[in-house]
Amino acid sequence: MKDPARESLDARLAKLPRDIVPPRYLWPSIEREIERQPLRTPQVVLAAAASVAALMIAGAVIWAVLHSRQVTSAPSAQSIAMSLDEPHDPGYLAARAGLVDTFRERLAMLDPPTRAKIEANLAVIHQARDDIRKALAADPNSPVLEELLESAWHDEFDLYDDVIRTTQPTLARI
Amino acid sequence: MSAFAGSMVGTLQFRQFAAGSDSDTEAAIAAAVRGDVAAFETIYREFAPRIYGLCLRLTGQRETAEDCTQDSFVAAWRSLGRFERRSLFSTWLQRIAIRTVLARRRGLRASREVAEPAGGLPDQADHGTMPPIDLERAIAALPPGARDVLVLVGIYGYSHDEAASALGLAEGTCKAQLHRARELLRATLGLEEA
Repeated sequence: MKDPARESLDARLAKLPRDIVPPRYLWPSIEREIERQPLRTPQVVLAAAASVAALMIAGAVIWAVLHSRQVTSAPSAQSIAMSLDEPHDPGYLAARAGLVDTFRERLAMLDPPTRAKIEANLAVIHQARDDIRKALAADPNSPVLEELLESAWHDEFDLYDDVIRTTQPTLARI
Repeated sequence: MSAFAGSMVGTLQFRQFAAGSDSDTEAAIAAAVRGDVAAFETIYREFAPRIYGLCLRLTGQRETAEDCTQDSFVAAWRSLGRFERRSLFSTWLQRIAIRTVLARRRGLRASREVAEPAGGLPDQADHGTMPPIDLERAIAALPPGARDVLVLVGIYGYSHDEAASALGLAEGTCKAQLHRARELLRATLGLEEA
């Protein structure tokens, strides 16, 4: 019999059910929504979007202030494990290196001012990441710092991704 | 009502439609495209478990997954006229669900709302084969970007190309996120490298 502990992660993932029945019947709400959908004019949509954006920004500021004051309890071991810095697995490092190589190739296709701006943004992200790492070394239980490190990681990847995707049409025309 | 009892009610609601054939589904889709709401309910019953499962894995939260499932079907209803028969309806619907989850997450990110611990995920504790922290909960605790790719590629069988397209990422980003997700999961579950 196969030892479950040795079963590969991929095999375990593939065994998970793809279908999960919703715990409650959602159709009545969907039907109500479908039947009461008024057509909205673009002006109304834009105004609503602007209001929502303003509320979200306000919410972000309030949350950041409150969170920085209130979070004092130690995070769980799992949250620490999940938010540790980047993995050192060779597969990940190879994929990351490939991504950065593609980013560099695409970056070289852009005009110098745009390239300089992107390089400057990347430098800011790297600087922020390094600063956060230093702060985390001094305060390893800070969930706020962990979240910031995670966020810096995302920002870096988002930047690579934006450059690669936005230069795709340029490549397609060649 | 307990989570188990709720789940049983849900199962019974869907069981009566389990015998529906592909042609029934095709007919329901055709009728729904013409504006038949009852036919769209048949579609809902057919596809809700797949869409809810996907939303639950992507969000890691039962209530959010319910909201996203609901919003996905509403969005699908609005877009039925643009459904192209060359793509599978299930695939088309899943892409709508992915977009719905991502749009909702962008909103939450902007408002800095903090996710609650995962709830409503399938209970795997009685399988006797699971590590101390079960796999579903470990997936739910992954960072969102890594979780998205792992769910689509690892559980739902998307290729990197399909996952990258559905998530609006470059393929290289997708691969890097998948490696990261696997590494984090292995660390959490205490698994050795395969």
